[in-house]
Amino acid sequence: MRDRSTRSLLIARATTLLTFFVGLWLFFAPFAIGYQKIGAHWTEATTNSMWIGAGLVFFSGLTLILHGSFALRDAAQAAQARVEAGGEDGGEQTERS
Amino acid sequence: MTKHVVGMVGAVLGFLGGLWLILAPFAQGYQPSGASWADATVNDFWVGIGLALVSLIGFAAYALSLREEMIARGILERRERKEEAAPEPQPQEQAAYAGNASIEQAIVPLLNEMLKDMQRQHQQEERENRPNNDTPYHQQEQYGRSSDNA
Repeated sequence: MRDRSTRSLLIARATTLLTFFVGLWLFFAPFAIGYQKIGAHWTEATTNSMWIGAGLVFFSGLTLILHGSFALRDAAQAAQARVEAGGEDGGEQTERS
Repeated sequence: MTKHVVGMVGAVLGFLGGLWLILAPFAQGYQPSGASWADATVNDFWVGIGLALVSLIGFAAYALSLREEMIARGILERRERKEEAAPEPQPQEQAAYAGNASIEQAIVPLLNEMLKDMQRQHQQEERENRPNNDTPYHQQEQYGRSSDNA
């Protein structure tokens, strides 16, 4: 069960990372493909592509940062709970002995 | 669990962005209808489709991992357990017992009323058999005994 959860979480993180790179591509695509000349007035297609690209980079980056932060917090809480449980067990064992 | 919800929200935003990219060339008018597609349209359309698909997969993956964590914490139950429990005969028997109990609950008050009715009829018949005597038989017996005691 834990393996399945880890695998799906890995896939989910990979898709968010892919979204981030898609955003980067959209930001630079007008100049990379060449339908926007450097120095010329920006067309509607360029404006749309750049705004959507910037938004995707921002939100997918924010998602990755928040997701990582909450995952770290959960891991820290789980580790603390394990340490406390181990300490209680050790205490009980010493009392018994 | 918050991390999964954050990921799901991000995936939804990505999906909406992908949908907009597919529609944008026609909605904003930089792709005239009927004309061959410009480079910008081709790029936006295919990137939009890819983004929407990737976001859907991401949403499903975040939702799946959220479900697994909820199962691990005991908030949700795994569906296989219910499917395994279904073919066992116990629930049917319990349902049959429950059905019998409900029938009994419905019949018992009826039977009580019928018994009371029968008792009333019996008492009336006794009274009709002794029309001249005002005091009932069992009271006469009580009086007789009390006089004997006195």
